[in-house]
Amino acid sequence: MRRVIIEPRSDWQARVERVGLTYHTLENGTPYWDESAYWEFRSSEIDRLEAATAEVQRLALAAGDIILNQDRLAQMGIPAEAAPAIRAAWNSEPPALYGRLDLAYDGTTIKLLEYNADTPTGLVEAAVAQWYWLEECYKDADQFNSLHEKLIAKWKDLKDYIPSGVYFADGGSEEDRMTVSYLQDTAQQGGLKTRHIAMHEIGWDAKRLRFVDLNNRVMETLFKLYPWEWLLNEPFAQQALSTLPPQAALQEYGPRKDRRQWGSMLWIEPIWKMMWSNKALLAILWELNPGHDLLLPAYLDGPHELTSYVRKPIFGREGAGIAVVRDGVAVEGVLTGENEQGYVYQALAPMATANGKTAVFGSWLVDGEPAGMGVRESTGLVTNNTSCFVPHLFR
Amino acid sequence: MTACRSQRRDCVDPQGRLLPDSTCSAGTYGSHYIYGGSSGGHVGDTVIGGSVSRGGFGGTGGGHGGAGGE
Repeated sequence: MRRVIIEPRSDWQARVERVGLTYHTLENGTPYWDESAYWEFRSSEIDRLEAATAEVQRLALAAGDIILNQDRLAQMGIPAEAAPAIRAAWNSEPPALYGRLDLAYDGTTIKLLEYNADTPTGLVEAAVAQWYWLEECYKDADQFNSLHEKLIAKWKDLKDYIPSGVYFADGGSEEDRMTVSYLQDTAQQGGLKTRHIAMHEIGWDAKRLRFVDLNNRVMETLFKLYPWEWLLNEPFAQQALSTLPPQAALQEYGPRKDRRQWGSMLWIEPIWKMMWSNKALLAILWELNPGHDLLLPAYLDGPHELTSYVRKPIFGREGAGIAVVRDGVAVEGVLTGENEQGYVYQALAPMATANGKTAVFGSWLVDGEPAGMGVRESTGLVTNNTSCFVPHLFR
Repeated sequence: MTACRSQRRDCVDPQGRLLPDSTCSAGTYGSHYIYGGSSGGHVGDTVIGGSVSRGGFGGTGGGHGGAGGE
């Protein structure tokens, strides 16, 4: 694989805006969508990344069973009040839409950095913007990208379960709003009725014991781009849990499917995703699969034998609170300060670097299947909300 | 919570049963206000006829406008 420097399209801003990528420029004026370069792969390399994604998903599924069987949710910092609902949701298998593995790949080894299983973003750029870029600039090449088709197919599968339609909610940032808008569009293309609502607009009807929209209509299905660990720290936490099994059974049914086990409101992503979006998963995966070639040594109670490692807060987001230690010395971020929920200590991975950039490969899954990739580049080792998105292709 | 402040306000648990006002003031897990309802006035009474309460989600990540995706 290689990083190829190119001349951006003269009107790239207008072109990516037309396909929904309105947040293409960072607050400091530099591009977030950076088409001054692309990453080129051989098809065999893409095959490896795809296979690695499927294998990590298999490991994560096995880990989910063990986390619950061994009662390890508390170790992951997950509140005890949520445990019955997580267990019931895991067993009743409500729909799970998507997720993104962040992988390190240097052309030789592939390593899991983390799993963004609950509220992954970077979707508009991965599914749409880079696809149109490929079509306009490199029509003879291909791209690891079946996101759009797979999302629509998944919604079509769910159509019978969700006759009343899906509410799409977000916290209000521009990126989240556009991501939700795109997902809403895929649901509509899948034949579902959809509506948007802001998280703060969701109401609780204490008489009907149901969540309602601004017109006080009962919400039966909610896609929320809003992390479960946030929801469970907010005033409606108990109400949210009361709509989930085992506390609530669904009061209305789809025409052909029985979803009684899914609760009185169907939440997408399901609450069991708290187990996978939690960075403690990395240590549990390593404990269960020591030496696995797709995993990095990772621990919850300190760095153990590691002298070069990354310390990540279990509930950290967008690179916040991460410290990089090399040969015992912090070279990025700081090691001082404590975090209530704790940290995971993960070995440093061999990363792809070129032109002073370090790349992380976000490998998408839809309905548990590999579905595409997006590349984020940083000047340091930590991917954060200022890391650029760079398109890719393969030949 | 957002509602008309001139209305009657009751602190309730997730099932709509009356709680001491101090429970909501303290932000106790799951407690919230509903507006415009009525009850017998005793802790544990079900508050009926109350309005829907809102604003119980969306306050994390910097409040409205916060990014929940990553």
